[in-house]
Amino acid sequence: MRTLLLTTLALFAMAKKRPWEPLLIIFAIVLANAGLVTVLLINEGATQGELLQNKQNLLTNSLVTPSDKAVNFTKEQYSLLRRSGFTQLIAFTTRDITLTCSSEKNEAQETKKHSTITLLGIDSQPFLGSRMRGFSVPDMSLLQNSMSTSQAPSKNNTRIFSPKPSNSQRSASDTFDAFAVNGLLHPATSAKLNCHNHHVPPQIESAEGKETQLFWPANIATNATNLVPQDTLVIPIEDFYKGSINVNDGQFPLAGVIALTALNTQDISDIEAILGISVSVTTSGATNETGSLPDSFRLNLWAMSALMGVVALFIVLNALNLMYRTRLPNIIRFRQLGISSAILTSALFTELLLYCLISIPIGMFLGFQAATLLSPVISGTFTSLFNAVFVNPDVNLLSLFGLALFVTFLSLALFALVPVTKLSKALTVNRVKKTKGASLLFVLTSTLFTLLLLFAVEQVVASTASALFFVALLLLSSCVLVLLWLPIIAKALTSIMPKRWPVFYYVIANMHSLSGKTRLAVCAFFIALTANIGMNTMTDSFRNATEQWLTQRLYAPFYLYTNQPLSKVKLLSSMTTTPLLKVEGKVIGVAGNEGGSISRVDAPTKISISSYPVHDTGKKALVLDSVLKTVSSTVSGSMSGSVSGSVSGLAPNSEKGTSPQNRLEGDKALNSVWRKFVNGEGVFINQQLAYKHDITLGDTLAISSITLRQSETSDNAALNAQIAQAGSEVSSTVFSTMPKWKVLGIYPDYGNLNGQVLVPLPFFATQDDVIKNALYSGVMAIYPTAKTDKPEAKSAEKNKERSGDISDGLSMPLNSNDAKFKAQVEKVLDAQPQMRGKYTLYAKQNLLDISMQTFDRTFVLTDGLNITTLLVAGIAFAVSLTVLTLGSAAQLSVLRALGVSQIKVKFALFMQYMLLCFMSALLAVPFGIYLAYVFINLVNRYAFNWTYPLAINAQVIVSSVGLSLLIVSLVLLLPLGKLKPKIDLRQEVQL
Amino acid sequence: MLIINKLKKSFSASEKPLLNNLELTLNSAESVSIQGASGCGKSTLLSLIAGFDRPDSGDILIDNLSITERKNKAHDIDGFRKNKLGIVFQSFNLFDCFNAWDNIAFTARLKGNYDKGYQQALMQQLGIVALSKKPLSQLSGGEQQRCAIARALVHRPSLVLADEPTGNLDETTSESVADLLYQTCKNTNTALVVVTHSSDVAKRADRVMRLHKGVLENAGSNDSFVSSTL
Repeated sequence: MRTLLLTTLALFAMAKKRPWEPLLIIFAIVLANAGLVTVLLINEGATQGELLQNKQNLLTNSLVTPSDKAVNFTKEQYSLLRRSGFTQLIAFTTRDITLTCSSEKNEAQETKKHSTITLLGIDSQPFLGSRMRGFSVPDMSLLQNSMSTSQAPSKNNTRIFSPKPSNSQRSASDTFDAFAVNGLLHPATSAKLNCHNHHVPPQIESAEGKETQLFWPANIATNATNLVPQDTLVIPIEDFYKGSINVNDGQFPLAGVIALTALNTQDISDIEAILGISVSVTTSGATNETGSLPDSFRLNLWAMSALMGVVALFIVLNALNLMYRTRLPNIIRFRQLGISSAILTSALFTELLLYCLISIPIGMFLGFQAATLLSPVISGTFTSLFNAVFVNPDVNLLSLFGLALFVTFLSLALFALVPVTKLSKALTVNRVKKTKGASLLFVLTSTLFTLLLLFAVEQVVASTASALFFVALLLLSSCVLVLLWLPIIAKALTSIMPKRWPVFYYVIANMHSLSGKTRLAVCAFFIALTANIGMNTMTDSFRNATEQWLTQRLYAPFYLYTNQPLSKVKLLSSMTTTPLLKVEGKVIGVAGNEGGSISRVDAPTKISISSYPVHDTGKKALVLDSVLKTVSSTVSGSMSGSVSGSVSGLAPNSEKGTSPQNRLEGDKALNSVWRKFVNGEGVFINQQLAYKHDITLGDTLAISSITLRQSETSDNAALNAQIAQAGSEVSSTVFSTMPKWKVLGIYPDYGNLNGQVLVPLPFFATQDDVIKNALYSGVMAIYPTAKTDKPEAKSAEKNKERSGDISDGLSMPLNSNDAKFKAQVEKVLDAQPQMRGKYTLYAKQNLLDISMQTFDRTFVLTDGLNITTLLVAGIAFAVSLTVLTLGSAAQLSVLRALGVSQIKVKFALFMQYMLLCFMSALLAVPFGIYLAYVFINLVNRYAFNWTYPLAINAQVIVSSVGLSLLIVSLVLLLPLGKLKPKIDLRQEVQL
Repeated sequence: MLIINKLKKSFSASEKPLLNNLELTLNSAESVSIQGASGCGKSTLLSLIAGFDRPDSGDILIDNLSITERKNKAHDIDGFRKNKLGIVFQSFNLFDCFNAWDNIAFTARLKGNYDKGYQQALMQQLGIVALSKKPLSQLSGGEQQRCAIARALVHRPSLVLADEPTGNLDETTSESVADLLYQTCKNTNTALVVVTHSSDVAKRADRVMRLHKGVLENAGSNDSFVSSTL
């Protein structure tokens, strides 16, 4: 024990003497743990958010309301109930309010974002001083703060909504001043209302046919809690009745009371007896709509975290190797003095453990900080993309520390085992041998073998797990190739470098030897940069594909989004409309294109069956990845053998490299397929469905359980039940003619996680208003009655198609005519009371912009982690080189002694490191592109069931490489700036 | 060639100067060996001559160029070392990234007077022609030091400074390397200052001097010097 202690102390003395290597180890462990803890916290926050969403809220309890809808409870009745012992009853009242988000930059502008939510006033007094039904008292007590602070909202709020009524609004009731209110919002709603300036404009209310104005100028300070239902703002009831809210003779009408504990029949009878009126008790079993965080998102986070972990591991190992290299003579002296190999190994691991103990708390702290900083972005992303909630997670620090220590030390110990054992067994310094580099032939053969191996393994990838394994294999094998190629490239550079520039010649030649000493740091940098290039190329390809696909798919200049039934949407005859109708169904089997029997799928897959217009504009907008060539010669097996393109021209996926003959053949096939689709001889399915069940062109789907969708506004379950009770099939009710389910084409459907089938719109039953409304998805394409609908224009269009000319009249920008048309549509809609304020009309470009913004938000986190990994690797690479520079100070001093100026030495070092970095970057480019291909065609294919074309964008690659070089160069500037190699005649250059 | 006038150097104001009004004159092709007890200032003197450090006072002139003048900028001193000076280190200090030939050629390439034939001849004299393409790791200590001597002379400097050139070599190799060092300097008309503890190495110089109490003294015969210092 004493020997172990002495040896360990001696090791620490060595670390003190040369602190850079231990510091680098600590730095890498800190970074790895910061990344690990950040991802853990994000995942934990998401999980806890999901759990919170599932918990009960105020309105999931029994609600007691007067049976007569025309009657309200009064304050006196409520008071009477409570005095009679019904203390579990809480009075509430409700109305809708519209919050308006105004831009701070242009407050006068009226184009603002409106958010309509339910204002729920509750009696918050009973919540004070007791714990009721699991609702935490602090949550409710926050509502009370506004009572004591009449003008100023509480300071611990998360968001403030301020009223900014216009002069006209103010004149309506200028006797009221803005007042302060404390409110509670659900976290998801809080995230949705991501606006700093909200105001409550006058509410137009219809009372007995007379419109009255409500003026409720509140400064609302809100806190987020899951106690509150979504899209609801809970405030104290006394604040609800402020402003110009009319009350009848001071009676303060109440909508009802919430029963916080269950009411039995006797209770209800007692309540009716006390109040003298009949009451209804409704128990809502509904909870908040639970969003779910897709596994793919977690997978993404974990993959990025693992990447950072691997990078950090390489950095630690590199630092360990550097440290052990310099310690070798001392370690040998220990052995020669009689210290056993076991003691030495134990001491080295003890030292490593101490570094972990120092670094992990720092890493955890940084991880917490990073998670806190990222919270707003994550919360916004979760809410907008997944309807999921992210909360600041509540974690056990001790268990988190234990987990981090276990993972870190275990991985370090495993990887350091070989060098530590080797080091502790050394008894003599072996004569430094010149390691003979691998020959070019060997490297070429190895490269060929590795590429063949990768190609072979790629062929057997058949699941997400195997795709991820392939990614790991690709990164590791590319690392091996880099290590093999780097010395050869350096040697080649040395041979072409003119020797008349001795300093540069030295730089190149020394880089060759450095490539051996820094191989692990190079690997870390290479992996990070390869992943960066791969991810960026993948994202860029996805963005391009999505943008082009959306541009083509959005065939109308305007889209109407409304919750109103389709039968209520009335437009002029000059406005052509195409509603999107949808039903749900399940794919239970697939019949092969040979016409064989139906083979059942492993698990029935829920799909959506959507309508698709059969007019020319719809035809032009259809993007297909592959279509059936002819009826008799179906393309079996893979989709690669089939014709690609859109019906009217070429899809973005296949525009280049198509010969005119193939294009013509493709166009013929596309037109033929379109005719069959229009005639109901088949359907188009999305990639997701095709990949999920290996469905190929010509296959026939067996679809069952066709039902009307459950929507937010309509309860189609009842309608489904009615149809079933009437003894008829839902499918025969929703389709006027049943289409054949033969697969005519497969289309890309980016962003959709589920299967989808397109059926011609005329095949849906649209005569019955009830069914039509139940089918309506709430989306409708609107466009001016097209010229192509006229016979002469149609003829011209056909001529264009025959000549192969691609017409894209739908991608025109919004011009003044469109603006006029939009105003016309809005005018028509606003003239209908049932539609006024209950629709949103989007221009095509708006939808495109919103979609692309959503797209960009999706990748914010990935981009952030990606850049962080690159930053970590870049910094670590630079730090490794700096540590190495400190080790080679003697060589630098020789250069100075021989007359090389200080600035030249610094420049030479800078060039040396940048060149090493640049060579690694050059090698990372092809592997990065290959990685992007793997992400798209393997990981994406099996994780999400869709793929898209790989687009190699030089700008993306150059920016990734440039960023990495910039990071390294910036990090290098500081140590190089401070570097002043001392000239010492007695300094010894270590070989 | 080398003129040192009243050179003074101390490392702290309270202590006695390490070098105190030291004087030395050395002609071309002349060699001088300097001996002295450990810590007497031998290496400090070499550092001052090489321009690594500045004296408190006094002057050092090499080929009539003062390297101690305050007006001289850093790059002037670097230029002086590159053009006028050759240094032989105790631990050779060759670059491991180069083979023997490129190590030797480095200073000539740096100065811009690389002459393949001259280097070949120099290596011939030092007996290391056969080692040209060998990597450093395959050279013995003696071979490495001979390469270092060649590197110090290949760019035709006016003055070569050698600090314990045989300190890391065995006795036989030391003698051989010392002979070559003196002889080659003589052949190339280069002045040589050797700092050494070895009386065998020292006695081969034209003049043997002893650094004592901050000044250089003629040491007389090597045997008497050794006996006086022990």
